[in-house]
Amino acid sequence: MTIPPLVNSRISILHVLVVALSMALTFSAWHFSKKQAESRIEQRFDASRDHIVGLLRDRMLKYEDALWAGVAAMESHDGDMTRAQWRTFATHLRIDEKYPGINGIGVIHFLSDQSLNTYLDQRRSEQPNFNIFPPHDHPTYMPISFIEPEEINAAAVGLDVAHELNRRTAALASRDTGDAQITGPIVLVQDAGAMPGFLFYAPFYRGGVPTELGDRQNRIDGVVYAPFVVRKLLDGLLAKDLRHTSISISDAGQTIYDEHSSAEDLHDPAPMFTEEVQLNFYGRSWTLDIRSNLAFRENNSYVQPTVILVGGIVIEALILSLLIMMARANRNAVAYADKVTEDLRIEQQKLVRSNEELERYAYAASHDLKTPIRGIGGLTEMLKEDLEDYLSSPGANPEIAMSLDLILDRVQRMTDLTNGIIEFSRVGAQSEDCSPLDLSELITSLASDFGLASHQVELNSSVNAVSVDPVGLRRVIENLVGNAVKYHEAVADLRIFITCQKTSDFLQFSVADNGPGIDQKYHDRIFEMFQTLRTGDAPESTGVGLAVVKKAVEVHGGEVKLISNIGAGARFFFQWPKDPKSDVVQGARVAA
Amino acid sequence: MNILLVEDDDVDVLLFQRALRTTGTSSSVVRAKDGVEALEILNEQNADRRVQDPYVILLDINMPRMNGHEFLKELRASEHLASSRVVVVTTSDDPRDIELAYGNYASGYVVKPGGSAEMTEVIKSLQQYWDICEHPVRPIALQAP
Repeated sequence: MTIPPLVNSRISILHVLVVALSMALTFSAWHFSKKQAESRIEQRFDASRDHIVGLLRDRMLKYEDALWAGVAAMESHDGDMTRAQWRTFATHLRIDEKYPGINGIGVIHFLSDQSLNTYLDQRRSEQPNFNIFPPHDHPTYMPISFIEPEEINAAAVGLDVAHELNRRTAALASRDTGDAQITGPIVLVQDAGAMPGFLFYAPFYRGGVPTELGDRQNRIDGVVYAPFVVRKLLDGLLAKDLRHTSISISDAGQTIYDEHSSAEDLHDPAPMFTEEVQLNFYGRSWTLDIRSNLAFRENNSYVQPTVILVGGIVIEALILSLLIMMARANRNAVAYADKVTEDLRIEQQKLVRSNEELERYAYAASHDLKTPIRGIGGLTEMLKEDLEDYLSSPGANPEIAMSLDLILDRVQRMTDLTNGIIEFSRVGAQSEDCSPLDLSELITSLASDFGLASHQVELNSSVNAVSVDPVGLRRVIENLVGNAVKYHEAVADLRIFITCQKTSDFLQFSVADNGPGIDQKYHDRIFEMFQTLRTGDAPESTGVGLAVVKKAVEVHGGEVKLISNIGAGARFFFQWPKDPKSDVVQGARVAA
Repeated sequence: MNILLVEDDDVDVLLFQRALRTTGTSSSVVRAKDGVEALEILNEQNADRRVQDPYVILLDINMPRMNGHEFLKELRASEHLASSRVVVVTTSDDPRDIELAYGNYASGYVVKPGGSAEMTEVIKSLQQYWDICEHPVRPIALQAP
């Protein structure tokens, strides 16, 4: 699959997919973690809320129990306890210790006009300045008879709770239901701070517990009550600084307790959670507005999702920059490789061109040299012909004939050299449309060309004919055979053995002779141009032949090697490309 | 034997004339130094030098101004000269030259001999060729080569 490239042709769609997928994973992890954290925090808030509501309920139950204890005490005294007896009861109740938040516990008697005087006598016998106040129009009197501890509640003793609607309504409801009841919001007379409060009533009856409404109304003796300042109640409930929520309470739309003020230390102007809970008890419906505060925020601020998000984004950025860097490095590398390749190509072209120029130059120069050389030769011959009579005369100077012969000899050598250069420069310029080189025909014609007897050249070949550059191969074998002939001192004894073996990659040739051999120290030099082991005067030695052989073999990727020692003949090895078409292997041993 | 010798090298001309002399060949030789001069002579633009009919052209390849191949091409393109007999005599043994020469209907291709003895043989062969030739007479009707 090829990936279509995008930016600058190097950042692929795959790269973009990797980054996008990774981004998606990061956001999912962030989202999941955030949801989990939020859910955990919400659970904490719910627990906090349930805790404070539970505490409030439990506390009210405890107070109710205290009231019922008072009721029990009153009823056990037939509704007629003295101030001292009530003090004893209240003292044993250990209000301060056991009932934090309660302002006191007291008794309210229900009186009619008939019973009023008896009651007043009785009270004043214990407390001479006892008075019922304030006056009101309601037929029933509900004075506070006792309240303990009396010191802080003195202002309440004698207060007729029937004078005021909230106090009276709850008291009557308590009478009529036989249950504990609380009043709506009031301000306690004994509270100099005039803070919102309420009274908590539990009724006691004469002659046992009545079950009917009428019965209750007839036999009501009074209520045991406890006054509360809401603030004190809540303070005792749970220290504010230990809570993670703040609370406000309202009764029938009137706020009786409020912690949601900016003056509060832990006030959170934008709370994380808020919830309203309706608390229906003791004849009232309280609305609890519960909000998380700063302590909650502090304890529940979550960083994990943010860390995940930021970490993820940082990793994405790193991956992205890594990809970009990789793409850039890749681009640079490719550009560099392209440049190097291009440089090499140009260099190679230059070399090829320069080589071709050199060969063309050598060819042209040799060609142009041919004409003047021929001219010198021709003129010398003419001179020799013209001087024939003189040269054959007895008085002739023999040096003239010798000089003319030397000129002709040098002309011949020069012709050979220029021909050699031309031949060398032609190597590699393969002529096309040549018929394959038949090896047995080749050695026959070579033997004839070099004036050898047919048995002097032997061929042992596994192929019959070679079709790859037959002209070049002929040139190579011709030169090697020519070399053998040239350097053999007694040509009649010369033997040449040519072999050709087919290997998996190429044809392996060898041309061996029984000549004088070549000293190993010359093995490299003999393949160089114009290098000859003969002295300058010896004929037919231009030093081109083996250079031509080497070049022709190397043009086809082969290599020429020589095994030879002085006096032990010479054996040249070289490789030639296989004919790609013919694969017929035939053993043949042919003598020319 | 009437010969138009197109040859830039004076020594070769000397060698050729000597060989004619040596063999005792009766001939008239007109020499042109290159293709341009040869065409001028053939087209009778040169009042002094005229080649007699019938004639054979001995043509060198490597010459200044117009070489042998160019000359041969012009010749074959000319209406009244197209069927002239041409034997190439040159130092070049390059297969490309040989191919090109025969491609332009040369009658023969001779690599210049090394010495005067060989030149004598060439002259003899040329004489034999002349003798058996049916020489066209100018003007020659245009015919497809």
